[in-house]
This record gives sequence, C-alpha cells and structure tokens, in this order.
Amino acid sequence: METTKTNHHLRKKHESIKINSSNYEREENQFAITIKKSPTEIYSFFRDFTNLPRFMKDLKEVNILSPLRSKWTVNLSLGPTVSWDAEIIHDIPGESIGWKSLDDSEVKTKGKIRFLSAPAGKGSIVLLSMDYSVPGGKPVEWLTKLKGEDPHTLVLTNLKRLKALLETGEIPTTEGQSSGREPVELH
Amino acid sequence: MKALCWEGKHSVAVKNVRDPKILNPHDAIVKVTTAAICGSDLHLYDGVIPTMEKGDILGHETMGEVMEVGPLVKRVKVGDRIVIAFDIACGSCHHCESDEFSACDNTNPNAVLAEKLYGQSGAGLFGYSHVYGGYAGGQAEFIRVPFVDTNALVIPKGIPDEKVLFLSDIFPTGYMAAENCQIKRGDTVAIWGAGPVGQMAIRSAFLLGAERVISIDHVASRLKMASESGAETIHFEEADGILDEIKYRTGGCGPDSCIDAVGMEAHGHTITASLDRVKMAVGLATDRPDALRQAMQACKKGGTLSIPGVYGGFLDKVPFGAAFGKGLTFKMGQTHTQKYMKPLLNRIMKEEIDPSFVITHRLGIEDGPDAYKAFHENKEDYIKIILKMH
Ligand SMILES: NC(=O)c1ccc[n+]([C@@H]2O[C@H](COP(=O)([O-])OP(=O)(O)OC[C@H]3O[C@@H](n4cnc5c(N)ncnc54)[C@H](O)[C@@H]3O)[C@@H](O)[C@H]2O)c1
Ligand SMILES: [Zn+2]
Ligand SMILES: [Zn+2]
Repeated sequence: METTKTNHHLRKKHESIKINSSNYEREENQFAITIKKSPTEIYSFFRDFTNLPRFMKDLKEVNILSPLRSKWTVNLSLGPTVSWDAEIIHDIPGESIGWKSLDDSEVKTKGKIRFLSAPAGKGSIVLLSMDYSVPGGKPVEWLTKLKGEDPHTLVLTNLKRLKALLETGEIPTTEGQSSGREPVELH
Repeated sequence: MKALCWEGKHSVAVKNVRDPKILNPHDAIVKVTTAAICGSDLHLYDGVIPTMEKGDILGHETMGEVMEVGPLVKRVKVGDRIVIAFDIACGSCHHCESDEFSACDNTNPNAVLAEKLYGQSGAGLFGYSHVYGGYAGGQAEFIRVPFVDTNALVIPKGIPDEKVLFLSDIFPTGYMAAENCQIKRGDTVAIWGAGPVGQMAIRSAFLLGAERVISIDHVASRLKMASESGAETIHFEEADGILDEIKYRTGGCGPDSCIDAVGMEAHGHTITASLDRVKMAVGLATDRPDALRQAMQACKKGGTLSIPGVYGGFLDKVPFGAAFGKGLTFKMGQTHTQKYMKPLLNRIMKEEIDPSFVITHRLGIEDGPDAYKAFHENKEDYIKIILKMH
C-alpha cells in the first residue's frame, strides 16, 4: 500500500534525524500527513487533548484528570456512549507524544504521534501510529464498523480534518446544507 | 428556495429545498442573480461522473449578491456583487499559496474517497459529485460559498452580469488552456471542440499571441462562431481525414500546440470512437477520448497538448507511443479559476473581450429541466444557456 511505502521512506529519513522509533517498527497502522505549521505549533495543539474532539469524528470530549491522565468519551450516533481513561506514556515537547488506555479500561487503544520539520518551509510532516489491535479489544474497528466505515478511513479523515483546522481555522463540511433529498413545501 | 436537482441520468428537476445557511466561519450566503449551464454539467446529465446522488443541487457557474457573511470573513461584504469560482479553495494551504487553487488540500470533505480513486484529492467543487465534496451548486436561488474571501471576485458597479458571469469557469478555463500551450509568436494552435470552452480558448489563444487558430467540431453554428473569432475551421465529419487535413494546413508539421476542449464524451465515427461508445455502454470503459487521441496524433514534435476537457477514469487505446515518440508535453486539469479571475476582469474592463458572445439563450429557473435537455440534444441552436435566478 502506498501509505506504508511513504511511511517507510519517512521513517528512515526520520531515524537519521534522531527520534527513536524502534518501538513502532512493526506496527501496521501508520499514517502520514504534511501540515503547514511548525512542529512546535502542532505539538502544542495536540498536546492539549481537549482539542482532539474539535477534529476527531465521534470523539465527544476529553477531560483532563491529571497532567498525564485523561478521560476520553466517544458518542456514537446510533450506539452507546463509551469512555476510557488514557495516560501519556511519553512526551517530547515539539517532537512526539505517545498515549495508551489504562490496562483495566473497557477500550484498549494506543497511539503515537510525531512531528518532523518538512523541507523548504512546507511545515511539518506528522506521523501517526495507531495500535487498535491490542489484545483484548479492537475499539476503533468496532466503533467504525458500527458506522459502516473502516478504521483506516476514519484515521485518515481525522488527520485531514486536523490539517484543515490548523491551516484554515475550519473543517470543510457539507453537513446541514440544502439538497433535493429533503424537499420542503413553499409557503 | 427553488433549485435544479440532479435526479438521475437525463433527469433534472426544479425542487423546493431549504434555504442554505452559514455552516463555517468563512462562509457567505449569496442570492444568485445569474447561473449558467456548462458542458461539464452534461457529463453529470449523461451519468458518466461517478458518485452523484439523487437530489444533488447542480451548478458551478454562478454569480450574485452577498446576503450574509460568517464571522471570519474579512474582505467580502454584505451587498457585494460577486462572481464565484467553480472550484472551492481554502486560500491558505501549500497549493493555494502556489496559485494551484483547484489542487487545494482543505476543501474536500470526502478527500479520502477521492484519494482512493485518484491517489490524491483535488479541491471541492460546487455541484459536481460527492467525490469532489458533494457541495450544493449554484443553479438555485441561493448558494452557500465556503471561504468566500478566496473564492469570490467582487464586481465593480455598472457591469452587467452577462459580461462577467463566465469568470466563474469557462473564460478562465479557456484562458488557462491557451496559457498552458505556451504560445510563441507565429504559433498555430488547433482546438478540438467549439463549445463554450473551445470558444474561450480560441479568443484567449489570439489574446496570447497565436498567429493561427484551427477550430475543429461538427456543429455548424459553433464553427461559425469560431470563425467569427478569427479561427479557421474544420468540420470533422466533412473533412477528408481529419489528421491529413490538419497536417496539410500546417505545412506538414502539425500544430505547435493542441487543445482538447471536448473531454470524455467525444463524438465521432472513427473505429476507436465507435468502440468507445460500445465499451462505455456496457461499462468496460469510463471515457470516450477520441478528440484526445486525434490531438495526440496531430501535434507537432515537441509540441504541447493542453487538456481542459474533463476525463474521469481509465482511457482506452490512447496512442501513448505517438506522444512519447514526438516528445509531447501534457498540461491538464481543473482550472485554477481564482488565479485568473482578476486579470481577466481587467481584460473585460479594457474591452479586450466580452465573453457574453457565447450566450445563445437566456432562460429562467423553471426552464432548467428543458434547458438541460435542449443543450444536450441540440448543440446547433444551444451554445451557452444562462439562467436568471432572481
Ligand atoms: N478543466 C476545467 O476546469 C473545465 C471547466 C469547464 C469545462 N470543462 C470541460 O470542457 C469540455 C467542453 O466544455 P463545453 O462547455 O465547451 O462543452 P460542450 O459540450 O458545449 O462542447 C463540446 C464540443 O465538442 C464537440 N465535439 C464532440 N466530439 C468532438 C470531436 N471528436 N472532435 C471535435 N469536437 C468534438 C461538440 O460538438 C461540442 O461542440 C467539457 O469536457 C467540460 O467538462 C473543463
Ligand atoms: Zn463549468
Ligand atoms: Zn487550499
């Protein structure tokens, strides 16, 4: 797959500029996007987890419980509200953030995001690894299947929404626009 | 409000729908005064563009008056008369900053779907299928315009709608097509298709210094309009071998550059054209690229092929060997409309061109469904239809 190739290429390059990614070598779900903001700006935005629901579909809120712990709540339009506690497992300002759900939580997830300077003032390359095949639970898969989407599409969509939000201040949408699918009577 | 909705292949209806509202902070709501039907809309009408949904509001050549603006709109004001670019650009991404507005990264909410089809997603487009964002179009009484500061050209008072409406699409499209030819003094440009885009390309090629323009079509009235713009014409059904004819007329060299202003639904009676029709009918091909094939064959060595005509999928029997053998340059794509609107408005104001020359019919919104049918079936009488919305 194309994404895998790209990531592989980026991973190599990235290693040469020092961040250690050995823990993530074998993960399959890696995504890359280029965002026209500096690594520090994107890091700061992302590090404040209360910003995540602004671009992550279905994520209703994130409550900060302590400097490293937070409570994530997902609200499915058709299904139940699900929440879990997550903790930050590593944090290198301006470079990368890693988090995972607590061992006893109902939903198991793990993620890592890295921010690299893109060449020629193009902003940053953002690399996201999502582990949603942790033994004991496949939350993202399960959540997205309920909505008829696949998890890859959802993660990619969310990354694009993050990019749009940071670059333009809004996320493109047509939700709520008019269409002939819901005609109205003229008064 | 009333809107023209796509209801399926060869079916357009006037429907009463909800008025649009501001959905994002850089949006505006515009009362549409005039809209046009484009050759691109015919591809939708024929059902050859994937991911249309019943009830989608059509139209991407639109102008009107600003009624309301979102809280982060800075430049455009309520009451302004604006022409709206057909492609929706954010104005801040890497591509927008490089004037590649139709390649904008941030306006297609369905970008992931587009990437699955094309590897990357272009900008969202008004009224042009869900893979291009599914935005409600402008053949309606009102339209919501995202990033209005980037996508609108404010029109000075006193210029009638008809003179500036085509800054929304076909004039920039014809102009960019000609610009992509990199015309040098003395050049001959051959243009397939004498529809509105072809007509704008003819005039633009002359504005950019072409010595000769050869216009190719099989509709007499359109060829007549082309010759009134100064082009030499070839009726491809009457000509004795279109490629021989072009070669002869260009002293054996072929045109310096060729423009395909026909796109994916070329007509013709060549063997390849007939095969295309059969294959497309049974779903074995997505496009009928006969004009493109001819342009590739005709072009001179080292020449440029400029393709404003729209293609959607996988093309059959494209003579790539000819293109390679002659070292052709290809330039194509959706127009970066926003890049051209202002300079072309200046050309209109300096009276170098009045794009309204292509208009043959001025109709109302209620006439919309018949207008689509007529434009589709009767290319002789209908060259460009505009619809008065208010
Ligand atoms: N790139 C862009 O951004 C952009 C913008 C607008 C329109 N377009 C595309 O440009 C194309 C033309 O648009 P239009 O509004 O002029 O459409 P149109 O349908 O009115 O004109 C097409 C013309 O091509 C002629 N034609 C058909 N087969 C031919 C052939 N084999 N050889 C020569 N001529 C042939 C037709 O008779 C017709 O006159 C369409 O594909 C449209 O989608 C692209
Ligand atoms: Zn158009
Ligand atoms: Zn952009």
